Amino acid sequence: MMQRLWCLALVLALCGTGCAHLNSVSTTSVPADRGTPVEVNASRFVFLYLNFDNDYVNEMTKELAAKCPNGRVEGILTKMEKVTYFPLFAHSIKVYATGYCVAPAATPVTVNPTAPAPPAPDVEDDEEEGGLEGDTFIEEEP
Amino acid sequence: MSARTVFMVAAIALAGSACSHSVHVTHTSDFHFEGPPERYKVIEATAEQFTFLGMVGQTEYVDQAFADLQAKCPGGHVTGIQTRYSTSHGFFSWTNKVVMRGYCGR
Repeated sequence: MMQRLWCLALVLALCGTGCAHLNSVSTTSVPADRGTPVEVNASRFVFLYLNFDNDYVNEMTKELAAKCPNGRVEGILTKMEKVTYFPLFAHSIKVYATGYCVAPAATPVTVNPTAPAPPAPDVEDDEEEGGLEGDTFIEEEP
Repeated sequence: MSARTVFMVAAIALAGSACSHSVHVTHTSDFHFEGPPERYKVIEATAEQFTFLGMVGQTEYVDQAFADLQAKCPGGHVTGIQTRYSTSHGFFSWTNKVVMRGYCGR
């Protein structure tokens, strides 16, 4: 009798708690101004692995943009996890995106000034000699 | 199955634990340098989650790794972040690991 109760308790515990599994994680560059965090998430409950589209994720970018009007969202941590409520039967896919809303940059992006500029190739369009439109040929030096 | 066989299997499994690792995701963010590379230093943050038979209810260690990475660059920006998500396998258990490495510029 006691063993049965233990088994029942174990089954209930396993079924009642969602086991979370991380599927993917990614980040973008983090700004120095981290004063205004923004966060959105999306989820979908999946029964018997029957999922017919992933459109629920598309709304996340719109929601992030809406939370940062007239600004940029940087330092976005995107996390996707699968929560199993009951193996094979009930799952939930959750996607989280957190970032920081920063004011648009006043100055354009700078590049590394110490890096040598790549030489400009000597390119000529050779359409008149039967070359296809859009093709380019590099003239070899003798 | 005899007790000796069970013991041998257990011993092999224990001896072989944590010797296999799998990488699930590697991701590299954009590189946005705002000056010479000498102004940047490499920072790294790691977070782990021990799992027994997959029974964990959250993935907040990822957020912790990201917070640690930012804490290592106070007042600066972090760019070129490489994120690696991997698992080290053990005996009926495994350890999920997230490593984030980036360039801190002030």
